Amino acid sequence: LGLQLKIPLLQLLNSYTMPLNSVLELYDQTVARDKFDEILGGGDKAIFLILGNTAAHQALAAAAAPEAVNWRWVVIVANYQWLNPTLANLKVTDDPPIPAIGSWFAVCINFSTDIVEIYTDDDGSNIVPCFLLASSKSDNETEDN
Amino acid sequence: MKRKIISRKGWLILFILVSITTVSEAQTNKHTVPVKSGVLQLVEWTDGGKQIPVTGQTRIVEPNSVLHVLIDKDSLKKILSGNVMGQDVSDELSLLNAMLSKQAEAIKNLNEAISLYNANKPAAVWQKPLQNNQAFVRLILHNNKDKDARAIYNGLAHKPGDVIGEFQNLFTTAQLLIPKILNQITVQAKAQGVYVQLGAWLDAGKNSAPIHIEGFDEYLPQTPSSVERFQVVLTQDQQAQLDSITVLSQTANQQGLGAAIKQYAGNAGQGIAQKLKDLPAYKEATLLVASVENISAQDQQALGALKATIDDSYQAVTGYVADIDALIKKYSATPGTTDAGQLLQQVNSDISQLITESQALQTKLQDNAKTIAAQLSGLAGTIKTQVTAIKAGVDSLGNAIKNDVQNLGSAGDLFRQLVIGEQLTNLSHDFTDKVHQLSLDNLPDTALVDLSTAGKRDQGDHVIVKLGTGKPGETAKERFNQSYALYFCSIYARTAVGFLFVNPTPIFKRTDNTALFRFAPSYSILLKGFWADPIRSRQSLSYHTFWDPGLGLNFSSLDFKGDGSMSLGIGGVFSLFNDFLQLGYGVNTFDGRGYAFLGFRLPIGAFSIH
Repeated sequence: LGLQLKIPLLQLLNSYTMPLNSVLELYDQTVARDKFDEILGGGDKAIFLILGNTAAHQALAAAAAPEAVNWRWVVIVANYQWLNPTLANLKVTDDPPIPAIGSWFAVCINFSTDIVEIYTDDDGSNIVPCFLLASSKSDNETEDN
Repeated sequence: MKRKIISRKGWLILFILVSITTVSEAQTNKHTVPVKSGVLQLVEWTDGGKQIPVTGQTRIVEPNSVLHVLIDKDSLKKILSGNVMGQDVSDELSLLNAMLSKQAEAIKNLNEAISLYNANKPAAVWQKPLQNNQAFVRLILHNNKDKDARAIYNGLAHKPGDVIGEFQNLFTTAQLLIPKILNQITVQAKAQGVYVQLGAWLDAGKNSAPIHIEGFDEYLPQTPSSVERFQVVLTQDQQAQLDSITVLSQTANQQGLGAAIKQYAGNAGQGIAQKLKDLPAYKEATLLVASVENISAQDQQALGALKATIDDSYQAVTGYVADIDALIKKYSATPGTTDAGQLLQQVNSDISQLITESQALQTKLQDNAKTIAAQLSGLAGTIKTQVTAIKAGVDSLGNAIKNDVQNLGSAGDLFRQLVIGEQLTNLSHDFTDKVHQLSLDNLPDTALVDLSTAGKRDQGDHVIVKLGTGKPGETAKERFNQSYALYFCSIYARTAVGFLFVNPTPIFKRTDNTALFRFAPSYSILLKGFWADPIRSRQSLSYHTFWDPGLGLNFSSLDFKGDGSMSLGIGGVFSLFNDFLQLGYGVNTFDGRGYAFLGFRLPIGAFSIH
C-alpha cells in the first residue's frame, strides 16, 4: 500500500519538478558541429536528433519538445551534413540493415553516444520509445558502472 | 554425585527412534516428492465441509475428501510454449513474467534516477538506477521480434513529458502481450495436435486403480463408500489376531514366554507354505499337468511329432510342481522349535532357487509353445482341441511365471512379502486409452477427484494425481505428478489388538515364587488425530506412519492366578508407533486390583497365528 501511495505522489512531484529543456535548434553551420559535439561530450543526455529543416521536421520537433525533460534532449539540425564526420563516427547499435545516412530523418542517441535507433520518416510514435531506449548506456559500457 | 537425567541406554534408544523416524519420513517422501510445477492447484474439501489448500508441502489428504483440481492453463501454455512455438517465445514469456514481478522495483529505480538528476548528482550516479531498468525497455521496445509489443505500447495513452507514466506503459504492454502470446500458443498447439491428459489413481495395498474424473476419462465411478472415521468394533482380521494372541497368552502364562515364541515361529512356516500354494504359476502348472494327463493313449499316438514337445513340457512342469510341493511340505512341517533366523535364511535360499527354476521353465515353455503353434495346423478333431487347450495352458503358465517372477523381483522381495508381510507393489499409473486427450482450447478449468467413488480404500493408501501433455508421435511428458497418503487429519477412532505384559503386583511387594508379568490378550479403543492445525497435520507423514499416538480405553482378559480363570480388566491406555507400543493402567473388575501394563501389537503380516 505504501508503494502504491508513494508512486502517484512522486509522479505528482515530478510533474512540477521536471522543467522542459528547450529544443536545441542548430540552424547555423558554423556553430552546429561544435555545439553538437559539446552536447555529446557530456555523456549524460538521451538525444532525439532530427536531421532536416522541412515542415515535417519542424512538426516532429514540435511534437518531441514536450518530452524533452530531465536528461532528454531534442535537437534539430537543418542539414545533417553539417554534423559530419561526427555522425559518421558514432556507433550504430540498431538492428541491420542500416539505411544510408542521407535517408535518416531522425536518430536516437544514448548516454554512450551510440545511435540506438534510426528513423527514416516523421512518425511521432517513435519519440517516447526513442527516449526510453536512449536513457541508458550501451551494454558494453555497463561493466564500467 | 551428579545424577544423569538420561542414561546411555536412554540416549541410544532415543537415537534409534529419531533415526527410524527420519528414515521412515525419507522413504515415504520418496513416494511423494512434489513435482515443482504450477499447472495444477488442488484444494481438499473434507467430508466435514472444510476447504483446505493443498500446498507443495502437503503429503496427506483425508480418505473421504474430494480434491478440487484447478488447472492453471496459462502455466501449462507457458510450459508448452517452447515445444509449440520455439525457444524464443518461451524465453520471451518468461522474461515478460519476470518483468511484471519487478514493476514496483523498476518504478522505484526511475524515481530515484529523477531525484538524483534533479539534485545535480554526477551522471554516473543517476544513470545507474536507469541502467537497471534498461532490460525491460529493450524487451518491450526493441527485442520483440514481430514488433507486436511496440505497436501495443504506441497505442497506449500517456501525458506528454510524463516520464513515469510512459515507463509504466511498458508494464501495461507486457500485461497485454502475455495473453496474446498465450492465445497464439493455444492456436498453434491445436494445429500441432498437442493434447493434455489428467488422471488420478488409488493405490490401495498392492493394487492400483484409476479414479474417474468427470470430463477427463471414460472410467466408471465406483460405488460411493467412505472410510469409517470412528471404528470401535474389531475388524475380522483383528478378531483373528485377538484369538491368536489369546492362545499365545495362555501358552505364555502356562509354559512361559519362550515356548510361546517358538510356537509363533512354527506358525510362520505354515504361512510360507500357504503363500507357495497361492502362487499363480503353481496353480496354472497343476491345471496344465492335469490337462496333459487327460489325453488318452490313442490320442497321444495322433500327436505325432508334437508328442516329444508335449512330453518335454509335461516333464518340466511336473518337476516344477513337485519342487513347489516339496517346499510346501517342508514349510508345513516346520517345527515350532525352529530358530527364526535359520527359518528366514532357509526361505531366502529356497525362494532364490525357485525364481531361477521359474525363469528356466518360462524359457522352455515359450520355445515349446512356438513349436506347438507351428505344428497345430497338422492336427484335426478332438486332439486338435486338446492340444490347443494345452498350448493355451502353456502360454498361460508362461505368463503366470513371468508375473510371479516380475512381482517377486528377487528372493529378498519374496522373503519380505512372506515373512514381514510387506506387500510388493507394481503399481502402474499410465494414461490408458480411456483417458481423453484434450486440446488446450477444450480443456476444462477444473476437475473433481472424488475419493468416495474411488473404490475400497483405507488409511495408508495413496491417491495419485497426474497431468501429462503430448503430441502425436511423441511420448507424453509428465507435467504434474503428486501422490498423497490417505489419513484422517482430525479426531478419529480405531481399535487395536495387543499382547499385554501385565504387572499385577508392584515389584517391591513381589514374592520369589510369583511371576513378574502375566500375559493377556487385549483390545483398545483409541482416539487419534489430535491436531489443531489442518495444514500441518497434512504435512507430517511420520506423525501418521510412525508416531501415530492414540489415547483411549483398554479391555483385557486377565489371568492373574495363572490357573486359567479369566477376569475382565479395564484401563486407560496410551499407544504409540502404530499401536506397536501400548502403555496404561487398569483395574481387574473381578477383584478390584489395579495393574500397570505394557502392550505390544505383534507384527502379524502375511500369515496369522493359529
